[in-house]
Amino acid sequence: MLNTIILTDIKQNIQSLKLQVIFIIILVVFTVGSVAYVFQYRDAMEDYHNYSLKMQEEIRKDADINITRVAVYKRDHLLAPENNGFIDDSKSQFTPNNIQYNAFNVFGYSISRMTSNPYLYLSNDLNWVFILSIIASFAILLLSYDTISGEREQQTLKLILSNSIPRGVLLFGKFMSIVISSVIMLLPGLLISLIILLISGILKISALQAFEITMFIVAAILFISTISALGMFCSVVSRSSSVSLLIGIILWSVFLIFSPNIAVFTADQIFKIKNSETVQEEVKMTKDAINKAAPEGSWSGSDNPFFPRHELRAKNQTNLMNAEKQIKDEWYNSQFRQYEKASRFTYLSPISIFGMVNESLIGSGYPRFRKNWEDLHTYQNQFLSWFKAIDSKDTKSPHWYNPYEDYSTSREKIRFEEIPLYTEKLMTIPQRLASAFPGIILLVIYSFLLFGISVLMFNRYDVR
Amino acid sequence: MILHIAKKDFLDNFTSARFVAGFLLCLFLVPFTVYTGTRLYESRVDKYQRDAREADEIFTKAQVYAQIQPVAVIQPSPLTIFSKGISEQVGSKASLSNSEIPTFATGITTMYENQFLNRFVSLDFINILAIILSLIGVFLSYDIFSREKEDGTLKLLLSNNVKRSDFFLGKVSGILLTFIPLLLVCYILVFIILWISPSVSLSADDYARILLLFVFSLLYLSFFILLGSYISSKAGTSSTSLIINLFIWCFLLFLLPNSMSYLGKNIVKSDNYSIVRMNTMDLDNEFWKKYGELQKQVKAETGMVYTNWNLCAGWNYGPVLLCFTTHDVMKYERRMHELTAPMVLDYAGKKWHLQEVYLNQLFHQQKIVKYLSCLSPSEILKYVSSSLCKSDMENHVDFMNQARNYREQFFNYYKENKIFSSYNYFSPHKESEIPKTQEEAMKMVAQWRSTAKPESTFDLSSLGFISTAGLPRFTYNERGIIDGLSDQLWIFAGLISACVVLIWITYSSLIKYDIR
Repeated sequence: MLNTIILTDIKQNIQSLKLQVIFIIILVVFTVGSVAYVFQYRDAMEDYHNYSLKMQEEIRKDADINITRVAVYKRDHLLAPENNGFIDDSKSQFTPNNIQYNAFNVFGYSISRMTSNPYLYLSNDLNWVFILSIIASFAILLLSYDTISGEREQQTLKLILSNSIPRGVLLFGKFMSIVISSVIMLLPGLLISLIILLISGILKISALQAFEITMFIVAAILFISTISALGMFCSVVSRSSSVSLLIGIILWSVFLIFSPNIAVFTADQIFKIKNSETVQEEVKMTKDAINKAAPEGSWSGSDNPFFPRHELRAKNQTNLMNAEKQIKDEWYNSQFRQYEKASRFTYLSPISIFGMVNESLIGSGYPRFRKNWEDLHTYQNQFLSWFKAIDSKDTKSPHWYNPYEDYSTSREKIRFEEIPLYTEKLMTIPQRLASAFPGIILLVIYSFLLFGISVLMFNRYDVR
Repeated sequence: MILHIAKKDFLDNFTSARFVAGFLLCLFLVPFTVYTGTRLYESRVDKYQRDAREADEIFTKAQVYAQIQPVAVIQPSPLTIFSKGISEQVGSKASLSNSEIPTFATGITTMYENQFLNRFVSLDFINILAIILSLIGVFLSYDIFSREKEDGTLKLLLSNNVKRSDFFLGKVSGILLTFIPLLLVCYILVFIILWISPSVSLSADDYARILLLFVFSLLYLSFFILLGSYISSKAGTSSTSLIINLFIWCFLLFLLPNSMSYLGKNIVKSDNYSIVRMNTMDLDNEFWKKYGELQKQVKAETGMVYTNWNLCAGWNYGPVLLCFTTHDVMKYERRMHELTAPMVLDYAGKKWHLQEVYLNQLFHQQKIVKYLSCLSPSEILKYVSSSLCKSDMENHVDFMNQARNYREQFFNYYKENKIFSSYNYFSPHKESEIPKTQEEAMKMVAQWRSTAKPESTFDLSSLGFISTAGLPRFTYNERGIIDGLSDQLWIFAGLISACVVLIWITYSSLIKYDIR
């Protein structure tokens, strides 16, 4: 019986005008999005390549002067464009992608302008997550809103229920048919997109990309189930299909608009952190105090590395850097905490959860930034140890480590090839799964909860 | 008769579940959004006040002319609460140094200081109107004719002595009339929140702009009502009409703007800004080479071997606030400043050529994206609103151009009044006060130390401040409503034309309707 319900409903759905329209729209969006992504990614990679060459050239120039310059001059590490952006761009335009560091410190992060145009309104890329979370979620809602209330209006519900079929089974059959119809609706688009990406060479058959795509599909099925369950809920909550649709659209708008807004609102109101002026003021005051306490001659300089006051200068600069680092790191950590706490409020919305799950599964966005932030701290320590090891062998260096200037450490040249450069390590599969786990569990809970409530309500539903 | 039909439809709609649901949604979302927007505006005002004070202090606390590197600051408009446009992406002040003509403004370049918070979508009032009101518009109009067909009332109505045009106008006006109180309530809610916020004060010009915004919101809604009516007149059943309407709504609001923006960015590409910066750095390197040659030349000219500065508190291509230093060194530094300053300005101009090419690429890209995405009425609403709310690109570019013109005017004043070649450009001493010998200089240092404030080891306030009364100051002349709207004339006309076309085709479809 269950099979009959599922098959009949799938057949009906496929023949319906709405599914056919959605199917075409989704197919077009997948194709356009993938083709555009191919061009965009190639351009971004070319830009990034040119930028990397320029950066290396800068380091090479400094290496030709002396090793201290290599160690103390601030460098920017720009995160490379991702080859999995076709799944989700992970709000890259709002995520810091540039981290500044030298051998002594990781200074801070920013959003690099690169090729983004500040005069454009911010828009979404047509990636898979966008298609699923906006277009497909809307379409699934349209497929499911009248499953029960529509049947009641057409007087067919009575007939179905006159068979000896438990209401729960009927609802489950209808639910499954929507999930399967939605998957059928999405699959061709997804396949076309994959073919385009494979032909373009962006998609290489690697274990990691296979994992990313498989996990996207798993997350997508969970998401489809949640939205379908939401549609079912709307259809049993009212006796009229128009009211069901209205409730569905309102809930959809709330998930799409209200939930992210409330996250920002709570961050602003509940999880307050210091503002940049206060932090700057603190840094200034601490620096002033250090400078005042510094012995006379702490700012003196000479061409002779062994000029005794260079030791004072190095100490003073180190003290200044450490003081600033302490205040800034605390501030950065409070920003991370504020974001993480605020993002919990978006767990109210399955649309936001789906985005976050994918961001974690493809190892991009915020998790990627945090990993690089931590890794750069580790690298910075290694870089400093490397520099100190070379400096310690130089008899012409007094070994007074100054984090900003090349006064009192080795002035020997260094070969560029010997310099340890930072290379990004991608998030491992267990790390990604661990990061995505809470979201996946939440999607499962939402599906069960919404479907469970729908069953309960349907059991009391008046079919007349 | 039109009035009669409109009144009936108005009353029907007003009490319908869909209208009430939409109304409640607005009641819930609008205050919330406007409150968040107001808070953001308040923090921007705080920041502006600090920036403006600092910009003023550059003049009032200057002790030598070389210290003055003006900063142009733009006051945030309270209208950004309605439509934030690009105001939170582009910065709010322009640093006008002698060494660089600013490409971009600095200051606030993200909505929230914690950059990660910008990852959450945050919509302004106009965005909410664009989404929610158009949706209610669709819900109210999708069955405007199809329901009458289904119920069989259309036949009855048209078999009476009712002109089809009257019927059509009456039905559409009925829905439009329903929206006026809804829209009014939304705007009144905004005003209530703004009135209770102490930091927001609206001028007469602002009220005029809000009134235009109201009228334009109504035009935007009319488009969706007319679209709904047209589909309703063509569709066989109300449910088909609703599905088609909702698809078109989703397409116009979410799919089209994003696709067009994506397409526009791919059609017109801009250079990488980091590369542009690196190219300007090449010019900087060229400058430093020339600067080195200049040093040698001036050293040979003045016979200077070793420059001993007894007290110096800054640097701007040479010492700034150089005090208690012997005459020969001062003479050398004066000559260096005299030759370097025009060269710095000249190189700023050379770098500007590169920056300008890049900026023009961005402007061109924006224009293409704008015109492509304006195929969607919600984007037209966004562009026109941001223009009315002074938060669009044109307003920002106007500010930056005024700031750049002011920079030129400011440094021209220096050139014309020979400030670069004066001692006061870099030293608080008059020529007659400059010590001749090192002993004399050290005496002056000791004397200054005795007058410096005890808590500060580097207090220079006793050296006095220069009079900056004659220097040109920056004042921003805001663009008028007409200037702003003239930029958006084409897209505005586009929306009106679309509405007219919709009226015409819906009317034609209704005229041709066979009542049998």
